[in-house]
Amino acid sequence: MHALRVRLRRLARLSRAVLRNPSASAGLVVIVLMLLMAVFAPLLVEANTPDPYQMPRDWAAINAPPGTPGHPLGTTPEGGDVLYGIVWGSRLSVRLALTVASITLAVGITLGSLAGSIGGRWDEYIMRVVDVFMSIPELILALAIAGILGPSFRNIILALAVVGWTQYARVIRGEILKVKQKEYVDSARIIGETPLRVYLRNVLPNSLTPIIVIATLDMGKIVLVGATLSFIGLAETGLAEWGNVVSAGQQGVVAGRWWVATFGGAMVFLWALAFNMLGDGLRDVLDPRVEGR
Amino acid sequence: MSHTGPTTATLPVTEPGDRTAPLLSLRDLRVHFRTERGVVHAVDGVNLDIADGETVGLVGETGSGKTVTARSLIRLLPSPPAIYVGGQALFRPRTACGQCAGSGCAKCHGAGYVPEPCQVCAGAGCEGCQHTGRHTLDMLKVSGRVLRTIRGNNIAMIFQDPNKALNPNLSVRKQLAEVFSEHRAGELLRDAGLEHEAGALLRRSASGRSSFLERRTLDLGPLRSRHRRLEAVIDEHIAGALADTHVPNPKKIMHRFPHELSGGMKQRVMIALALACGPDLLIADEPTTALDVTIQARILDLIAELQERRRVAVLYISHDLSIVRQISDRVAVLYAGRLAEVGPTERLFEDPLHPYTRGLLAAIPAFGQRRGELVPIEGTVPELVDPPPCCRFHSRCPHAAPACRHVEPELHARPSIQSHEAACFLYEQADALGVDARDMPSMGESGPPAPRVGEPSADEEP
Amino acid sequence: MEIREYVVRRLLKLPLLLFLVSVLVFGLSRIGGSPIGIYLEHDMTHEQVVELEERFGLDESLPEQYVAWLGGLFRGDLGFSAVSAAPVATVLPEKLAASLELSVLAAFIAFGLGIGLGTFGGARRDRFADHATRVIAVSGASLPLFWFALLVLILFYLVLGWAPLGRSDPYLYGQIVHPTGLYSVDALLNGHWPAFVDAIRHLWLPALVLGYEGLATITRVMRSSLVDELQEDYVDLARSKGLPERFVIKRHARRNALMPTVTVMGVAFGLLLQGSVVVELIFQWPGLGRWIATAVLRGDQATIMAFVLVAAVIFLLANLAVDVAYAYLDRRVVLGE
Repeated sequence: MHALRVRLRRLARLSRAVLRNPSASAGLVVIVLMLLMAVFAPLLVEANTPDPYQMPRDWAAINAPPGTPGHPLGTTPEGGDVLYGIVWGSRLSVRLALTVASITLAVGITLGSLAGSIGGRWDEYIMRVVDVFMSIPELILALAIAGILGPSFRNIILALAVVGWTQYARVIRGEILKVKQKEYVDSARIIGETPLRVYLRNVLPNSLTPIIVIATLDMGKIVLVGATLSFIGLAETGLAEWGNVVSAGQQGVVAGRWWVATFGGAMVFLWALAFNMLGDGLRDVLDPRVEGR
Repeated sequence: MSHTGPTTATLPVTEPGDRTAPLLSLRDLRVHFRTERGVVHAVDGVNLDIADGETVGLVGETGSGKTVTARSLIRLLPSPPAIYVGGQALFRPRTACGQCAGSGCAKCHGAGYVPEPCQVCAGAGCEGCQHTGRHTLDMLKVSGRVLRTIRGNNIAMIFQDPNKALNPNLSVRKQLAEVFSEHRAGELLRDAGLEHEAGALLRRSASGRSSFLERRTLDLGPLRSRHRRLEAVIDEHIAGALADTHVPNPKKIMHRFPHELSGGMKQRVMIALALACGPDLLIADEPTTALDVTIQARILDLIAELQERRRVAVLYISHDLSIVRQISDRVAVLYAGRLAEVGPTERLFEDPLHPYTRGLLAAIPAFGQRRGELVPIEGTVPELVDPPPCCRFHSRCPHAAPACRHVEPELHARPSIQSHEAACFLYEQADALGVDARDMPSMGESGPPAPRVGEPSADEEP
Repeated sequence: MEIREYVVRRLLKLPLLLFLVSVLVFGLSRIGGSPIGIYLEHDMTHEQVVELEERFGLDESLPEQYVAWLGGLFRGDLGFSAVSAAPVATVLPEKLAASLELSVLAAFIAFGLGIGLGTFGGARRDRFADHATRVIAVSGASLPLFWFALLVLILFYLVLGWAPLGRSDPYLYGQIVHPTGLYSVDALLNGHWPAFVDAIRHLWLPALVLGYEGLATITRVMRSSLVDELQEDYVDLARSKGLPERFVIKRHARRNALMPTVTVMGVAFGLLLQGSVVVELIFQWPGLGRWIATAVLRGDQATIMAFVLVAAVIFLLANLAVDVAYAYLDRRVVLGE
């Protein structure tokens, strides 16, 4: 019980330290706003029927510039409302980030822990697999997977999940190896703690710090890569997803219709920027080696 | 400033033109640091002289300001936080003796170096050189260009941890060659016989200014043999510098990297680096702290030997009193940014005046002392942010009195023994200060009563 | 161990990795089921489908299919590209050359400018130059490349009219011989000045955009490592020797700060490879990136597989080069495991 209270107090102290960082707190504010937008999407913009994730097409107002009545941010060449795409797109982004992150964290941490703790042949095999996956740049591999499976948002999620677990495996394995060499693990073992307890009590908490930082930054990167994939065209046509919106507006750019591409992309940028700033702030707080003495 | 006459932490000012003025004079040196907590008064009014060839030990605990004092001599402090608030660091360089060109003769008293005459009055004595006749520079105010000609050349520094002070990715040779190239390029060219035939490329290589591509061109082009001659000369100089510090097999060692050498060897390399250009003053910032005790002794011997041979003045910084006692001619005790006591080594050790010095000496475990008998100084170093005017040691001093808490003591010598001073009211007169006699400290039970003016040292009896 | 030995050792490890990558790529192509789909037409009878399967060897077991495919690779047969309506092996070289031209320039920008900017900002820590540098660094990590490219296009193509789309003016392009396939180089070799200018005119903007992510990454790491190195003791020692500040920075601090930076260059290479897909698509550059972007929409397996293989090889070689460069910089490393 006391240990829990110590942990909570430490958590509070760290949170305060993070909030003191101006860019990190700014990022946090943006993230919260986006989450709210995602949660309250139906209240902000009326859901489309039958599929709320398809942009409603207003054939009477195609390529409408921002400020057109009924379409504050303009429309796409098919009359898709840009504002709708932005608001409902946030839902898809949240879903994408959370789903992919949970899968990659689970798979990565499990495999990495196995490799690090057990060592030996397990380590060899798992790390070989990691090496192979990491021989191909992430976007390209995800592109290939989604391309072969066929254009759909689900396949984008799948592709990103398959590609993104390797970084966690490597990090966790590294942390475990580092901790294995530390004395307090030896002393715990001497006292007679079982390997699992040693792992849970000593190894995992310390390894979590870099993982938290990476995961935060990853949330930004997932949506960034996901939007790129849907921009290239691997999502369903007309899907209310940010990258897809930009793609719809791409042709119009050379003709002077800037609004679709700009607003859609701005959301992706904001999302990635917010998570990057929060992640950097977390890293400054959690990493013992702070810049400057 | 001083209320009872000149202090002798500073040596007596001499007749105009006799040019025996001290090599280095610190006058009211003040260095502060701007930090989040406020302005830290790291060094607050230090007066100290170092004569040619003299070894002065600067002693103090961590945080006393000794490293800051030393580094400010060559302005080696990170400048946004550090501010050189006031005071002077007067340096009077030497130059090779005209008579013997550095080998030693009667004129230069065997040193090989003579004080460089003042450029304004040619040694006669003038306002500019404060009538010393010597070329004087205020290190705190000289231009960057002049500063860089002094660094490594006239004033050199040895750092504490040889593992971190040497660049791990450059060979010993490269790091030593840098010093020679920077300050002795002309001599290198002359020794290689290239004085008149060297073009721009070779000159740049000699002075260490050539780029990677330029060096490749020299190595591969028609100038190859000349470049090789130049490199050979540099090799000779480096080998010589290493041999002087008793590094075995210099020609092999110079091609090694720092991590391939032992701690003692690395320190020798650093010393060789510092002494390469024959400096007038060597600043040694705790050079043996990071070494084993056995190696420590050897390095100290080395420094002493080199000092003898080259007549280098040494400012030796340490927190270890026993080391300082071994090699210093004079000792200055620094506490919380101000000097507590200064004097000839043996005198200071046998008859410490300042309560802090006494505490330090008492705290050294003596051989045979039994457990439980260690005597630490109570309390901790005070916070140096905007310190109030008072004796900085008063909170830990067994003799503290009201005067100590409100007035800042200056270094002051007892008239009978001019060379040994302490900044403590135990040795001053109440009326001279304008303070009520009852507010002055006294020795009390801890020691003999404060001596009165004119009386022979009555404090000899315990 | 000498650097030469180290390189040889690393090279020997490559085949295994490449083999595993080929297995991965092959597996990739079969995750969507049999690739017969692309060849099917609506009104085929069952017998015709079976016959097609036999013709392409798709009725054999997977391992056998893999071996057949691998054999084809070594013979130079990379399959047939549906989007280009030609064998992959024929189309690949020219696309590769186009991408190479773009990527090399982008790499120079990313690495050269990145190191320079990082040093510039790091040496002037917390002053204005540093903050400006940091903005570039941070934005590069968050900026969606496709969005950035479109915005740049809006500015330079639409508003200013400075940059043309595509790779070349077909008239000028047709006037010269193409020994290397790199337009700018070929123009120089031909001594054809207008063609060279044309090449550069088309090249500079996409290269800049492509290099941006790498530039941001390198700048960020270079700056932060330089700041770290400048706090080390050896920097003070160098200063105490009387060296001018610019040499202290260049010869001591920067050289050591290059170590973590070089490590990151491997990542930056990956970013260049990835970015080329989007940049080529938007700037209509006829390279590998645009090729695969279209292939992916059609499920053109041969093209996708070939591209992934090529990307993997380039990426692995780039990482090897990075590791060798690092070993050269860090003298403390005892080479070998």
